[in-house]
Amino acid sequence: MINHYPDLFPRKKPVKRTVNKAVLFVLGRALQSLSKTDPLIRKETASWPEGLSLVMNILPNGGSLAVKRQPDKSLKYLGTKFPIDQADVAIHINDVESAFKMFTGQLGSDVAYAWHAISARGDLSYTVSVVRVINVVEAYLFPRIISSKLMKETPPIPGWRLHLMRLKTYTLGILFGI
Amino acid sequence: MKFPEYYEFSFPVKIISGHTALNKLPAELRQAGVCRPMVITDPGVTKVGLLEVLLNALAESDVVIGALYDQTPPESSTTVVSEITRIFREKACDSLIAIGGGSVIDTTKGVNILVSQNSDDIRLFQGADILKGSFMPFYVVPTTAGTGSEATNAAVIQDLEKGVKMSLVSELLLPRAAILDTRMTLTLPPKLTAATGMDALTHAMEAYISIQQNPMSDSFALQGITLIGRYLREVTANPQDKNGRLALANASTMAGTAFSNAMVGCVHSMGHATGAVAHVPHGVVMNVFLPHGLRLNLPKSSERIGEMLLPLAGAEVFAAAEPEQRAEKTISEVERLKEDLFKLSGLPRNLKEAGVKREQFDKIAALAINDGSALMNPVELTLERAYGLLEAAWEG
Repeated sequence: MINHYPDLFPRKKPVKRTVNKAVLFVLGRALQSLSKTDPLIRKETASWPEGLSLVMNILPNGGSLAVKRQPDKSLKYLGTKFPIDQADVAIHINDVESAFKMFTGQLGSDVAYAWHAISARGDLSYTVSVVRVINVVEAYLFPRIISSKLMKETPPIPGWRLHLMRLKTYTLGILFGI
Repeated sequence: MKFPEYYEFSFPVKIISGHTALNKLPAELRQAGVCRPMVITDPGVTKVGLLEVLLNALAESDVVIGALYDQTPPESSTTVVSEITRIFREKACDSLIAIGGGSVIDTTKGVNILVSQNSDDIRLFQGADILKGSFMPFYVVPTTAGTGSEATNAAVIQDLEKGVKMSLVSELLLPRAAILDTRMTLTLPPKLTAATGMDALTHAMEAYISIQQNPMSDSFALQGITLIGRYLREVTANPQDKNGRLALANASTMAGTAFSNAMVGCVHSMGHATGAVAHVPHGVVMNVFLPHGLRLNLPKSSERIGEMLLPLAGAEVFAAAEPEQRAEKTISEVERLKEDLFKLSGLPRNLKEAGVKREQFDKIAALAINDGSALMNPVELTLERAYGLLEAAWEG
């Protein structure tokens, strides 16, 4: 009789999971690449303490990225295996669907926060600065028609820099982390 | 503004409101199956005799106060939270009662985290929405009508070792009940009444225009604004007005509920930063920045700012204003309220009167743009706009 009531295990969403993990990788490499040269990102990271480690992961095991603030104000991408409990600031995306919306240009960081799609461990005073950095990265990664819907105001990046850096990020940045 | 595509709203707090509401506390404790609460308060509460009200309310009951801590400082800290937690455990208490303002309530929230999570280090719980499990029965008796902490999901505790303020955010921090008893706010002097009332008004107004606003938070915000618009002048002029006191206590809780679920905005960003740099009381800076913060948001929120005219100023004023004038009229009504409170209580109207120095502007602006409240403000709070707000509030 009890066999009529088997455990129902959570379904898999392999496509969304794969997309999320791929975007986490792209985001990590883009953060590393853009933080070397973009003045808006460097202005933000200048106020972060040297060695600050930041992890973004999708709960419960949907993938993660980690970056660490370097002495020259840039961010070093540390891959997907950084132990979350050792991060200074951990930003958790609470479910696979929210992550997919965020990573495919359907949900901005501040609205994700408003929707409780994000939880965070650590010093929350970095949250606003991190959101500004993510906004700049998204402005480079997404066309303006999408990025303008993801944030209150798109960052003031001159057109020539936007196109040049976008090209560099999508080639050298993501492929080689340069 | 469109109806929100998605929102969350949480308010599991029982409200017990009345001129002698505290008398219901023994029954509430019995219902929760506890009888040995620890009471946390501050020296000011003890000094004005408010503890007597509690002791009388517990008379002839089966409740034993397991421990009384009445030395909570004006700013909650890791040290105080650890000290109180040690006493709570040693005296085998089974519940918590906070009697006081923001600092006492935040301290008690911190103690509840440590005793409920069986930990000794509050720093481990820094963050948003990361707490888990069940918490001790916790009751709040506010002695000011402004912070709304009895209805909010956040606590701010100073880390003395690192010299920073930690934010802890979770709906598990909310108390089981908030007891709004007229007797507990009756001794507030006019200036403090005015300042805390303007703090509550700011909570309600910023929650109403926040990008996290929702129909539930709106209803609490609008009713909070209505009660403050109707009673704040009266109570500041006549502090013994029991009916008005109770209305303001309710307004504060409503505004707290609204902002706990919709967040606040740039007025709070500027206020937190000004408080940290120039040590100006929170209610005072809220009063100073509120009209300027509303004006900054006019480009994106004029319709909703205009909607607040009805609860703030009443039907006649609302009906007399053309729809396109209502947002500006709301702001001028806030300015009129500021003027009236200045005349009634001397509450500073601008940064100059509040004792802020112009040379502090750089530090304030830099801190303000990184304040968490800025995230939910409709208009992006840039460094230039933060300076603009400071200039506008200097003598305005």
